[in-house]
Amino acid sequence: MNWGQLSAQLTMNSYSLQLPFIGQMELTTRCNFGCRMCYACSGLSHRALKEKELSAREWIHLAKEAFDAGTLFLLLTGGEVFYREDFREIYEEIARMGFIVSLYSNGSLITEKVMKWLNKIPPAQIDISLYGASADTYKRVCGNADGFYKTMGGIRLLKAAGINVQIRTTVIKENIADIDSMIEIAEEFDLKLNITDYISPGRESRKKDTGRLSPAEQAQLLKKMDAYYNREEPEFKLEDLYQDKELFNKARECFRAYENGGAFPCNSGKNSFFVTWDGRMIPCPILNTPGSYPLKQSFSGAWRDLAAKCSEVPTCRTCNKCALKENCNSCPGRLLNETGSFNEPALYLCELTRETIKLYNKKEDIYEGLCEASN
Amino acid sequence: MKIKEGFLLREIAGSFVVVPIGQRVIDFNGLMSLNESGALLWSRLEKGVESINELVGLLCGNYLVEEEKAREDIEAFINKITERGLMEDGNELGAIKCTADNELV
Repeated sequence: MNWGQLSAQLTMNSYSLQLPFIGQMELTTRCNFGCRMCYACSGLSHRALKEKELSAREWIHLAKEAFDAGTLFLLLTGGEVFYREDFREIYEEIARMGFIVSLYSNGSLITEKVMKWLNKIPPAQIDISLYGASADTYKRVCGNADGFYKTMGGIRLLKAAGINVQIRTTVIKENIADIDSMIEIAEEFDLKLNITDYISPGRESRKKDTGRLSPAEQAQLLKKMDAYYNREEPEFKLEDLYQDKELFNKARECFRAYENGGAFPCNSGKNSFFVTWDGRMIPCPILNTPGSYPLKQSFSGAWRDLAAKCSEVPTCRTCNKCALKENCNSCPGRLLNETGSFNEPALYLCELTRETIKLYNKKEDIYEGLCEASN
Repeated sequence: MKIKEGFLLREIAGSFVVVPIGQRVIDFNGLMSLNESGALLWSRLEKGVESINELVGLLCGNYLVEEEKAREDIEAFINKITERGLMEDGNELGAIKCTADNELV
């Protein structure tokens, strides 16, 4: 049984046993960057945030409980995890427990000094966010021009150490013109550029102006990226990862059944959880309700509570009856952040779906360039 | 005979899996699966054994299996994990990466 098959088998079992198999812990929302599209930014000062965030001891305690409850895949994210003064202490303890640990980082604080200890106990994967292809773009997007060079340096160090690195980007109006250059940067590192397919209004303050693209621009961007991925791996089929085709079909059916069950079209509250910087367990990074309290209720108690509450989240009736449903990526988190309600369709998502369908139904499929279009 | 440091056996979602820890993550990014008897042998090999007879005794003490058959299976198991560089006195780890076939037993 190869890695993909084993992972699929474990995932199927975790669904049926309703285990908190996949977890994310948001160790801090403090960051050395100040990106306007950041969903985690609450507008509080660093001092106020630091006072409220869980201590190293509390994170380690939660991770131990998550381990005992059956978590295998654990992502440590922020904010910027390396910005936390005691990140090393938290990380080293957690990485020794026996999870498959991944990190999300902007990469700019990964220095030779950090590599000395990270090299001894590396994560299974680290995803670096790339916000542009120049210092100027970094200044516009993150308010930190130097961040560009530091991020490049961080990626170089990680690659040189043989750590599994992925590069991802979030595209807004301020960095859309850099998309091709960012793809080139990723390719120079022998990597693909992954993209966040949707930017949510902030989790903590829903009305924030994120600078995201219009639905038409976003649809063009996603189509361009789709063509890029297809160009990279034209023959790729998920099925090819499975020697055992029967298992592939079984896994596909199982994932479909669970992902279509209830309001969430994903694994939130079914086998995955997210713990916020201040210790709330929520379904996913962008959705702050329903929630539970693992430090008060115990990890397992909070997980059961969250799973039960997620199953009660209503499905939007209008979305459910919509003719565009099959092509739309609406979900409770997106609806709540866009409209303030689980029951109201979100104009941005409706428009995005219409624009996407329009683009894919065009006879001429050659992409003409996004930057020109957006200008 | 002893399993190298840096691997942790876990029972999770009804399966036994071996998770690499520390620098082993670089050499061995992924998971290995074991069946119940494989997990029993692994647990003993984590502590170290003097000879294969200890493992034969362990297997025969826990399962209805002929000694000869148990010895044969254990030798095959030891060979597999030695080939993959997981034994302290075996090959260098990483000589054969376990990305393609990670089912030990």
